[in-house]
Amino acid sequence: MQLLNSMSYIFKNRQAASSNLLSKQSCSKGLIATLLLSTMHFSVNAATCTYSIIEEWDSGYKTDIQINNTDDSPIQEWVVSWQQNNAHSIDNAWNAEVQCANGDCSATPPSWYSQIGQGESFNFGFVASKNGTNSDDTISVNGAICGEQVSNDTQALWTLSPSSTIQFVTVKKTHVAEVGKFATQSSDSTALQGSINSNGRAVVAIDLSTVDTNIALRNERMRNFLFSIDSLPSAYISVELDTDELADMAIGSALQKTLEAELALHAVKQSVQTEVLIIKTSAENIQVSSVKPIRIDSKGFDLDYGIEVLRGLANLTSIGETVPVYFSFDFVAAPAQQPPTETLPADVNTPENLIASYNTMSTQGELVWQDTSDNESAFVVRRKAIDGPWITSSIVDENIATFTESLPSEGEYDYKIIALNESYPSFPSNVARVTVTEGNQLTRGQEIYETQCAGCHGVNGEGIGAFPAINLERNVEAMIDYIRDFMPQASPASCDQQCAEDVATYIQTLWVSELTCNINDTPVSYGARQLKLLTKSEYQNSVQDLVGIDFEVQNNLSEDSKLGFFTNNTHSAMSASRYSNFLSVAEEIADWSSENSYAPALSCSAINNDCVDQLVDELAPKIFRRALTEEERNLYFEIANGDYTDGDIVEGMKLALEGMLSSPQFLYRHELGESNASNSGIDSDAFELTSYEMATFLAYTYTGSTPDDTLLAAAARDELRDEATIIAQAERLIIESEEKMSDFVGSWLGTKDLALANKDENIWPGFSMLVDSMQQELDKTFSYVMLTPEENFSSLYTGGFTFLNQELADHYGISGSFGDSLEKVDTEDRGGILANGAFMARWGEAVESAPVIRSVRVRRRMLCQDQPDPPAGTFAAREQKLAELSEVLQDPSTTNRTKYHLLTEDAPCTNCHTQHINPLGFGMEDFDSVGRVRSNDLNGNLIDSMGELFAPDRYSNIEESIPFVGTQGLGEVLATLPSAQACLPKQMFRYVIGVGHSEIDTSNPEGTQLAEMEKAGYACSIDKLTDALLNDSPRAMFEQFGTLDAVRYRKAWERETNVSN
Amino acid sequence: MSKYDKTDSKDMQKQALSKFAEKRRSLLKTIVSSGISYSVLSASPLVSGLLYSRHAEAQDAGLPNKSVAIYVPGGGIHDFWAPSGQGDTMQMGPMSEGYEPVKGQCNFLLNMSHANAGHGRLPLILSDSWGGRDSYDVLMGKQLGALLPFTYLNLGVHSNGNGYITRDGSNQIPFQDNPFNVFNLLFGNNSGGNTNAKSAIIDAHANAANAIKNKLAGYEVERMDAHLDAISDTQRRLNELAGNTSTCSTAPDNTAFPLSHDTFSQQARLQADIAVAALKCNLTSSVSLAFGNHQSQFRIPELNFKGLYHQSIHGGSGGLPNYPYYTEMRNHLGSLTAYLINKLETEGIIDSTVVVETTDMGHADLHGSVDVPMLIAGGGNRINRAVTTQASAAYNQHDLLHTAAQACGVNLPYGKEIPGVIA
Repeated sequence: MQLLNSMSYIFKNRQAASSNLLSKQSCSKGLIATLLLSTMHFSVNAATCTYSIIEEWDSGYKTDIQINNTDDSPIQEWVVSWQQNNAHSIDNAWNAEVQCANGDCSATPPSWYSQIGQGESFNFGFVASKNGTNSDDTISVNGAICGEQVSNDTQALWTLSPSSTIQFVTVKKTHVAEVGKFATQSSDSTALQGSINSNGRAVVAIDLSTVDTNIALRNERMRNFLFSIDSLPSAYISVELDTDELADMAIGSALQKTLEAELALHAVKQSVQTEVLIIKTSAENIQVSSVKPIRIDSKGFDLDYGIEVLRGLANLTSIGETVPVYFSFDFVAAPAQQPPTETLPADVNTPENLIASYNTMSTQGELVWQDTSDNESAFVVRRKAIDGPWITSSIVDENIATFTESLPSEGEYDYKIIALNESYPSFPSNVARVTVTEGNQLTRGQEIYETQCAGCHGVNGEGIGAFPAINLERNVEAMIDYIRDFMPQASPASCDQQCAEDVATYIQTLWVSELTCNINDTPVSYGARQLKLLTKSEYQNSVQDLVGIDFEVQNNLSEDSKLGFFTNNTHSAMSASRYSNFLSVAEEIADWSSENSYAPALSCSAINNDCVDQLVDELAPKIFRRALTEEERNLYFEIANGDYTDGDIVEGMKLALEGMLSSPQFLYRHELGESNASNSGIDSDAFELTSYEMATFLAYTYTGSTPDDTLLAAAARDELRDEATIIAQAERLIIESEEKMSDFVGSWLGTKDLALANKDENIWPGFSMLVDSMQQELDKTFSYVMLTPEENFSSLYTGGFTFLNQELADHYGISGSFGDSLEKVDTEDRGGILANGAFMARWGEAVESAPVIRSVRVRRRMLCQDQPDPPAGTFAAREQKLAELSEVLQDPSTTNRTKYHLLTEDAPCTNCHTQHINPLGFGMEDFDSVGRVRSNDLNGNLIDSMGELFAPDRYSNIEESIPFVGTQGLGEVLATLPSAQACLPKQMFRYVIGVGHSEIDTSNPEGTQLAEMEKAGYACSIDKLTDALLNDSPRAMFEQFGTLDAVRYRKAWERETNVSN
Repeated sequence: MSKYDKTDSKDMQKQALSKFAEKRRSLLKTIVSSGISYSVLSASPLVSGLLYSRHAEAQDAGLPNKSVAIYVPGGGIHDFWAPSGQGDTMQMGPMSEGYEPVKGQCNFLLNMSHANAGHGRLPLILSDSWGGRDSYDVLMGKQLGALLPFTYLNLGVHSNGNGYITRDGSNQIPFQDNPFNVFNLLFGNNSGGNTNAKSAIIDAHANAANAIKNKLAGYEVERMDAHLDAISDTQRRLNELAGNTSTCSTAPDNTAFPLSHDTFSQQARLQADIAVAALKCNLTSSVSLAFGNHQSQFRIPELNFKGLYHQSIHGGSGGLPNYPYYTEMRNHLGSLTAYLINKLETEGIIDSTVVVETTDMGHADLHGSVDVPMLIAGGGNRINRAVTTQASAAYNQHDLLHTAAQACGVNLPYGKEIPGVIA
């Protein structure tokens, strides 16, 4: 009963209280009171006030209020005021004169008071009676000293309207002034939020990410390098106002006032003086605007370092260090009882007793401090070299009160610690000093990187805009030279050898390395649940096999997507036009099938009920690649049976077939899997492909079409969850994989588009007639190596055979008599997929060879190395260079090799061309632009095909190189090169699975990303495939796909999408 | 099967249908028919992410309400591209002669920069973001013509799968490279047979897509939503077309020709014809059109230079000065843009259409990010035409889009207005 009483009591009080803080709590009266009147901290300016209930009983409580003087001068006078429930009375006060009227109380010094000295504190207190009321409202303490308060019953009287702005003026190069602002641009982000509350406190919070200076790159830099919005997203302005004065203002009247506001910015809070004009434009609107700008001294807010960074990045001579800030705040009257829209985060106590020392063993500075707060979210560690600016060393998590770091160079450093409650700072701790006897290169490099490099290359080396990413492994020596000679772009050669070495040391820590397989981390490699929209050719093959059409429909379908080199609809979405195209193609097929009485798919004597049954019971499960659900069966039966066509079965069947051939069940290769509790080898959140899904996977992977009857029968018996059965099916189907192999190699090496690489008819007459045969030659060569069980990987590059017909043999100058169709021929000067007509002609110019392009194709496609695109604006003096070279380029004795050497001989082109690109490409000069072996060029010059493959295994490893002579010489190298061996499984993985082993879309590096664990698993898949390739055969590798964990077992992996801004 | 069962399954279809994105459309319809303006609409959380605020007064003020965005790869050389003078006496450069017939409709933007110059940055041509947000063409379509049969058309000419510029939410939309397909879609009669009957299979598809969706989580759900959207859009279009399939007489000539690499220009002109007809017939309000691809892997056989565009730029021009091959090809691409602008003029809709031509870099042999050639055309009195605008490096490709959107009364959530363009 007692419990019930108190419960209802709480309920009543909740209703009565304007605050809803109570709602989180419950249970007992005492607890409520304790919570609401628990210790609170107040601060403003140079003093802090601490207010606590030190004792509480049913009818009253005892308080203690402490004023701490943190200023550097004594406090002579003070007034502390607060509001309390006006039913409460103060029985007894000590160390202060306390007066109350209608709940508004104030305390002044007692008669014996003299001053509160610097660093000293002063306590007073009182005992109050609740006089029978429940004290669930708290006390707000205000006043000249203890200005800050956090109150539960505060209400917003006025709220800030989104039209408010803060503008600031920046001056660069001493006299160029620009105006920037914080203003709400779109509904996504509100720049300014704030309110004027019933206790007279006005708070405006500024979302610093909304800074707008009209230049996107500058905004980005200000966010990252000046404000550090990752850890300090907001700034706060708070000020005391007289709410009565505002209420009493006549409409249309204006008031000019000088206010003392607190600005909390960049983990520093300071008092700033501002002169404002307040205009009451209507009963509902108040405008507060600056009469004179607030002058923000960047140094005072520890922003001078960030400004120096910006100055360096923008290559300016100077940026003004004092920033005038103007504001225009529009407040509108808030509805009654509205809580403040933006209150300051609660005060956080100042960390104390910071002690700093230097550990000579570890050569690190060590800090320890006292965590005096229970509400901090983080600590800011700031460091400054003697005479230098304050730099944020680190942001340390809450409840951690130690910090260790290496320091850039010898000398003395000061530290201070600031506690944060979100973006709201405490006062700084004491300053402590360390003396460093040994500097740290990494720290030095980091400091230089962050000030000189990160503005273009990104904080993590990811690249910004047109500036290249540098987070991939590169040769360190070359990088040091490049930094020393060319960086930063705005003032090359300003970073000396030592500086370049320091930076290079740091950049290496930013490298993202490819994951390697660790079987302990990923005992099972889970693939992603996928829905793969049929590609055009898969659709064509499927309807041919299902319905027996003898005409092309795929060209009437919407375009396939392409990811990497391959056609890939794994992520393609249905759009209205794509769907409409499917509908009209399906309609065309259904019409044709109806005209043929559904032969050969069905054997209908007439279009009758029997034929309807056949359509729904025999053909539909083949189209859906699984048994129909009862609902699906009923639905399509009704349609076919004429329910929607006024009983017309002919029209009904057409409609049903059209529906099936444009249905989601048909259009998506369904690889979602199902939970399988009986499989203890997989995680509980994993999905196992059903036998029907596996049948679909196998059919499209090996034959590019829908499952045949054998597969569907095996699926109906649920046999395709077993490795041996899957392998057996893969072995059966792989015989039909020639078309898939052609599609793969044509996409991988780009030879599908051989027709695009047209040749000058005057020099290479009749080339276009050879295109088909050349493509077939490569396709057949590749398929042969991939599908013949006795073949091995090295044959791809050193086969010593190719496939020829008469016209190709004539073109290549190979003697002998051949037919019209291609046959396998042993060759001496060509063979494999590299020393081959299609590849060499595809990557040849209209007249001459294309050594640069060929080289990049080999490195990217055959070695799977990332050869970066040239960065923007690499070589500004291009036109001058071309003019210089004009004569020699037109000289017939200039070979293609010489030409490309001259075009790329100047820095910074040399950075990539001298080693990675040119020597590799020049080694393939023994093949002309139409795929023939040559020893002289068109002008009779002797061909030099000496080549060198730099960085054969890793792009960064240019110390290593392998010399070779001619294209076949390069083939010999690739045949045994580990990077080339692992590359084929990687490419094939992307082709079959629909995502790369390490990324989804190479052409959208900042787009959707694979989950980390997903990638870790795929690394194991690649290992498994590579093992099969090398230890067994290319064919065995291809057969492995059906039994890969990543195929059989799936998870709903998280995918991350970066959305800028 | 009992009668009861039958009714039941039909009801289930109806339910399934009402569950999907039809919601969005019906909301639009309700609100529009109630006379509430687009700006109110755009503030609705139900359509947030779909619509940004087109100023309410935009329609009343008769601002342009059609949008064309053309992507021409490979930038241009400022000195050869930048026209001088203005009005009838404006002098075109060797790289911009192709615009001569329509220069009176164009505002040539000079000294622009590119925020993301280079190859392989297609996602940022019509958007400020690599993913997750509608590209300009899609956004403009949703803003200007959410109720038209096609929200947007994204046409290509030999894009060959080299990346995408169009994104509907997170979904990349491949270019429609085949003009005959597009023709059939827009002007062909694919509402054959009984529309009511058709809706039986469309309902069945919606059912099935919902069934699949129920098995999914995360990003794949978005794809099924797109599928459901596609279904509902198509159904709506078929319903509206029922009974009056060919209301518009400007359908272009679709005489077949091979879509080979040799017919690049012919394909480009047919795509332009289709784009203009689609806009004129109110089939859509937003078209994007890409000539070639960012790898510059295409050629134009009727020109003197026979190789790939890429080759015309790099490789030293056989020792000849002033990039004669690059100039010839770039000029020709500009003439294809001019063809479209001219067609808009002939059809009398140039004043209500704002055309932008954008690109991926400045001087392509340098992969330059400054002096990027771009233009904005049409828009009637809303746009200052037959002039050049000296912009500056402070303005980039996103500001071009912002300005064009602004001209149509649409507030693009990124970029800023380039001064001197909007009259």
